[in-house]
Amino acid sequence: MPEELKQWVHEVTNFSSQYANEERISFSVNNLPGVPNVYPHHGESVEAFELRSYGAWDRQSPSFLSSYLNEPWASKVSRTVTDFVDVKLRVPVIPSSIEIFETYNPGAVSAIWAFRWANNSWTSLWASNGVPGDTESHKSGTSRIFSPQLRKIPFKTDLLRFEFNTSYSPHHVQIDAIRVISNPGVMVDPVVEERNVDHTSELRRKVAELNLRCDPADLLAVFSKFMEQEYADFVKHFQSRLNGLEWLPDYVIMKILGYLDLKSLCALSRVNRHLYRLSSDPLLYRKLDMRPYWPQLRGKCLFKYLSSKCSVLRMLDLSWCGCYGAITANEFCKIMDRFGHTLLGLWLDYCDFLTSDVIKMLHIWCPQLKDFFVLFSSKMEVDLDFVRTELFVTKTDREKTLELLGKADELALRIRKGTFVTQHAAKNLGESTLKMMQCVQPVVQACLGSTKSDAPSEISGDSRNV
Amino acid sequence: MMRGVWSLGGLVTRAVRFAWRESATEASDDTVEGLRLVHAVAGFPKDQVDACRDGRCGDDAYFFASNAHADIMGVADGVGGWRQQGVNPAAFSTALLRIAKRLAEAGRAPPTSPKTLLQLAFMDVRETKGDAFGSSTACLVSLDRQSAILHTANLGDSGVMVVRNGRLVLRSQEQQHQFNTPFQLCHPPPGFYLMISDSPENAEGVSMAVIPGDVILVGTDGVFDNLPDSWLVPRLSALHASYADATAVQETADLIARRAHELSRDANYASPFAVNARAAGFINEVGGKIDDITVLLATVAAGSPKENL
Repeated sequence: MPEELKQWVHEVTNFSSQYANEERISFSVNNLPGVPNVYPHHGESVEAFELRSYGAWDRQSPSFLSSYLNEPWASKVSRTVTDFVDVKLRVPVIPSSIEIFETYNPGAVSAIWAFRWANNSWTSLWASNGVPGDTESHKSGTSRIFSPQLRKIPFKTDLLRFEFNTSYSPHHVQIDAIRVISNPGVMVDPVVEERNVDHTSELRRKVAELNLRCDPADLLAVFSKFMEQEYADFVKHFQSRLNGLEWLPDYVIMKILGYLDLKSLCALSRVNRHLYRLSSDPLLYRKLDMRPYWPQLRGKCLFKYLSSKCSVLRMLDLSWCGCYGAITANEFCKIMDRFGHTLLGLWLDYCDFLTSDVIKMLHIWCPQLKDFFVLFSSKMEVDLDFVRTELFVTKTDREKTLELLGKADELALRIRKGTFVTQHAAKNLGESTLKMMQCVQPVVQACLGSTKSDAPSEISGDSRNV
Repeated sequence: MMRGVWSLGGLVTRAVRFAWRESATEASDDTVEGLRLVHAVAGFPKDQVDACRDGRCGDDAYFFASNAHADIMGVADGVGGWRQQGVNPAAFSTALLRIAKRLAEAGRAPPTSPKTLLQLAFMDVRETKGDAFGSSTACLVSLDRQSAILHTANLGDSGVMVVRNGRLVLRSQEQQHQFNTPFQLCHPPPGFYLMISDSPENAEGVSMAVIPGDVILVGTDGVFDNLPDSWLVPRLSALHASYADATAVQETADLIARRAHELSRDANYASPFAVNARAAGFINEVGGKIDDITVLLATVAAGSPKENL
């Protein structure tokens, strides 16, 4: 019987945020590979990987730029996942268990995905049931090794993605190390049962997604009351009409459809011709948030999808999509060439396919573009000559945008300075909210091309002349 | 104009850094053969309550690090004056070198530039939330394994000396603002201003070729203020015969530390410190200088660093 193989994560290939800029090692993602440095201690340490944000303060702050994508369902669900980190293993394995060494505010891990190089696809290994946080661990103030029950996958993988939801954490979240354990002796049956989803937990997850701030017991009471008293009427009412929705006028149905996410719209379009026609209306697809669908999205499918529905696309969010070749630069160019001319807003966080050339072309493809959001991490293998850039260009007039997009290099320099300052001033976390916000201001100013910046001076002093 | 210059400078430094980073990633897996350091540490804290271990010796700190391209070691001497302000002087020096060690092991600074390493570590420690406040001198040396060149970066009154075949071939100079006030890196707690604070840029850097058998001594001022070079050089030369022997290196390090410790307590000894003090006008100064003593001793040997283990 071969022994089980335990390996520490070898390297980080991509990540969404770290509490450091790319020159620092404290709190940076470089602390994640290899053996734990902090465990079994609990507490904030410079030698663990720290995610940049936590809680809800950044969303509640006045300078928060809220999304224009008002797809309530989709946005809400997708935005509960706040961060990710992709890690690579030395030896491809079928993981039998994964140990995550959480040394500060445990409970933020929300999903684990495995990548399959053969068809560029992600398979879910584990997903939390949506119960926010792990309050017990928070209270006890101890570190822990988190080892969730994994789904079996029929392929070997050496690339894993860990997703985090830090919005319930009372403070920063730190991960010390990750160990992947596999058992070479066990051959996985190629036909793995795909549908072993526990329906109760699925329902719990759905309820949790609703983010209702109420006691589950209350919810149950309301539900049972509804079942006892009103359900019969409700059913009778619907049964009296053959096609449930069709007694409503089209514009009301359209209004309802406007609240649905893409998945639901897709399901609805299969009900009957009438609903197909209504749910394919381009007006429903003016604002498109593809981030929740990043694991499945392919360049070709996306193009087809957009062609069939999105003739008046205004806002497009492709954040997190297209990593590791799922969308190529060529495919993205094709999409932009075709749909860019109506675009007003574009979100491209952590998109592998972005290169400096593509960014510079954006102002040709998208003459009306007003808002452009892009975040990069230094681990991405893009041929940008700037890294770890956070770029928010919003509500600028068109000429400014063009000017900025045309000078991506110079812009990057300015933004780098901005993020620098953000790091620096976050030292005193007691007032972090206030300070962070003060510091984001110069970033935005820098984006707007203002030459005057009253940013706090940078450590090395080389920003003073700017 | 200024802005143009700055952007250009930024571009150049980035270009250099990325060029280096790329080359580092290419060869990160196989360690470059060439020279290595056989090293040992010895020391005595001033108050003798704790031994020298875990990179700390009283208010002094030290580290050894090794990556694919270089062997790096260094000392930092925490400035004791902070104790009166309620700041632990060891916190800053140990935090600085702890980060320097991790940066060095991650290969984040080029093997040719311990000064860059010091800069990165200093910026890192200043941006780290925590209570690593204080001031410190620092002396880092980096042996570029492939080119067999030793690079040094010295800020303040710690020092490095290299002895080859009984001859002193390198001796760093002390950098002082005034007598007994060395150049120092400073990270003051909130509310403190106008501290003496020097930039890592001011670190004095020397690069010299080394050959197997060379003996490198890196020490804090507790060593060099109590032991004259005329005493140190013969002891280091004696090591030449058995330079690849880690035990011999350790014994010599112990000897130097012990001797420095003894002399520092000798009230009648005309220590280099007392001599310098008199030259600077402090005519009543006599005897050894009681201070934390940290000795990092290393010999240059052929082979990969794995042989050290």
